[in-house]
Amino acid sequence: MTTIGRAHGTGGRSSHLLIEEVFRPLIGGPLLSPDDAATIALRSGAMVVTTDVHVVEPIQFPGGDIGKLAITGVVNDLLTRGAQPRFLTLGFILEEGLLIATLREIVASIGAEMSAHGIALLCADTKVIPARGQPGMMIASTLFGTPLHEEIPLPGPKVGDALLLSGPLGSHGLALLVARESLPFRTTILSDCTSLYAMIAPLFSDREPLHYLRDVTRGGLAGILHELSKQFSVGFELDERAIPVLPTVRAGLTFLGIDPLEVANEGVMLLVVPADQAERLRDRLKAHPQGERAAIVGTVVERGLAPLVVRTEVGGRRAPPWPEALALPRIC
Amino acid sequence: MVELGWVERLAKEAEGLGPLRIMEFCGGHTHALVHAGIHQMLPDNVQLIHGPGCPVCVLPAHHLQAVIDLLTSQGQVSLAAYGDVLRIPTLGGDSLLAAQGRGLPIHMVYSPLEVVRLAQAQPDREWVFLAIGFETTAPATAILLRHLRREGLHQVSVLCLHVCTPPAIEAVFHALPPGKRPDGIIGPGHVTLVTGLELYVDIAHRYQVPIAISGFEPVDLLESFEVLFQMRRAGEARVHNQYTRAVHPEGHRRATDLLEDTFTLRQTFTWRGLGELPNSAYQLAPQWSDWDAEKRYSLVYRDVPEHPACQCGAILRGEKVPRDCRLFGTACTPSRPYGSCMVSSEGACHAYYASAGVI
Repeated sequence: MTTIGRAHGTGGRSSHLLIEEVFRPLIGGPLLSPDDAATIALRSGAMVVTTDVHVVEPIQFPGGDIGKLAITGVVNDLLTRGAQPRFLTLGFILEEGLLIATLREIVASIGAEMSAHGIALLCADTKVIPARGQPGMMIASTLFGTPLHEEIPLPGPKVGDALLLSGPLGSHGLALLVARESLPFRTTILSDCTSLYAMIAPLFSDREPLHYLRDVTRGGLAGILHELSKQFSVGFELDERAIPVLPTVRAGLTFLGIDPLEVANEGVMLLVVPADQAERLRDRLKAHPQGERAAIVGTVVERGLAPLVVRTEVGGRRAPPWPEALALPRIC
Repeated sequence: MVELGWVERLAKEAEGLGPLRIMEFCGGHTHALVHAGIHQMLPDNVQLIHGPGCPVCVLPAHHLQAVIDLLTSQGQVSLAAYGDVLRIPTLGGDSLLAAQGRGLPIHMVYSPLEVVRLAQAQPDREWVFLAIGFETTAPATAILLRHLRREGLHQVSVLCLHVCTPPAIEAVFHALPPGKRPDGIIGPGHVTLVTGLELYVDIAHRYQVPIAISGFEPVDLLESFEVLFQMRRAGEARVHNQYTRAVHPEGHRRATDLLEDTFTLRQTFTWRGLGELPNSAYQLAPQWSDWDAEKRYSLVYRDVPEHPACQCGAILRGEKVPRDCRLFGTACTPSRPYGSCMVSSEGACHAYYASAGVI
């Protein structure tokens, strides 16, 4: 690792190594959380905080834009720790030549998500750098929230637990690839970029027995399960037939030779729950309009040689490695 | 359970046939077989040989080096290429992807016709389309050339590196001693959709090898294995069309007409792993020479030596499998491939790595 390459931004193994070898040794500490958000214990009550940097090309895409993403991304991250979003800080890096009209649209998207969730902006900053091509922008967002109730244990995945996905995989990654590369698809593929607060928060309020939650973003489900395997010393087994993917998205990804397990999502939650509660919790998600395609997709198992095993539709098995590189479409 | 049914059915059909080497020619099949875990469901006496049908894998890197050299020396030229050639390693561990990171104008396209749009959007630049692939993608290049002629887009040219399937299959039989040759072939569904079945009849007859032209779904492949075992059992060496929902025995007339009116065979072409094969690749026919990038830019091909430990050549000839290579999964991974079989998702090394990592 001598220079920063694009693989360092994919959320795959290279990103993990960058954190472990560069950032953690220099600025890591006991409070730094390996999860999507950290809890700050205060003299009275607690706060939950998360931070994210958003770089996306194009900055406006079917189903959302970088502004919406900058808020829903951190809202979903806080949600994994059962927190209600409250206070926000924003950092903008704008590229020279960006149209103010475009910027205004993006800031309006931020405003819409903030008011939908009752989020207050605490501070913000803006810098401008020369454009690297089509002028774009980057947004850093830090979101503070308060726990939905005082006792949220989230003990982590346990052997025998069920894996529950809140929605279909692959839509965001494919939508961006199609938009960025102007792929000649006739169907518009919409990103799933959305806040899952309305669907997931009631599970915490009702003290449902959740063992762990994870926002299935960069690195895809395969990348995230590899991370969890390392963090909790467990293995995972997925049933390929059960993994929800929208038919148009599946067709598009198959066409391009890209595995839905490796594709980024921006509106899918992985819930690790006790096996005997899985069907009830799935039906509860299904009853919400955002959770129509919720599905039980696998189980937590003892960690064997392979952290992740996929049972294929014909009964074969494969063990996908930690995704490393950007997925590039194949030719035929 | 359905899956037990297949394992048992295949085991029964292959029983008593002795060791069987089955080669899937097409990289798409390699990917599908390993992705679905079918390679682990096959009877113990069946060994898979992964053939040279991954267009990215068989492309020698000197062409890509020549493109990088061209873009570096002539600032007015942009390149349009398919996504999965971008990581093929060139001199000094470089690649088109790394060159793109340095700012060279390299654009990933999915359809050749996107080149028309790119050239119209930036009319002051010269464009080269890197045309690779078997008979499957060559007709699309032919259509691009017709668009270029109709629109008068003379600032675009085509670096034609299309290759042909039959010589590659024959090369595998030549490379391997009789006892190591395939006992059955899973034939490429999409190539055959273009060419028709006739292409394989001669090979099946001459080498007394049954061939099943297969679709790409797991069940297609399982059926094709079953048919191959049945033909072996009956002592037949026929060409069977399993992929009837797509492949017409006569092929696709419009596509083959396009091939005939656009390309001629190169006298010889160097394949990665297979070496020089006569009449095995296409070049633009004389009437299209105005659009021929090799002629327009007088491309110079420099030798790009392969890593001495890389086993891609032996893997493409069916002599070795990815795990026989000591670089596999350690030094050589999809994000930093040493050899071309780790580059494309259709390459045998990439397929194994993506399905099982290094265990």
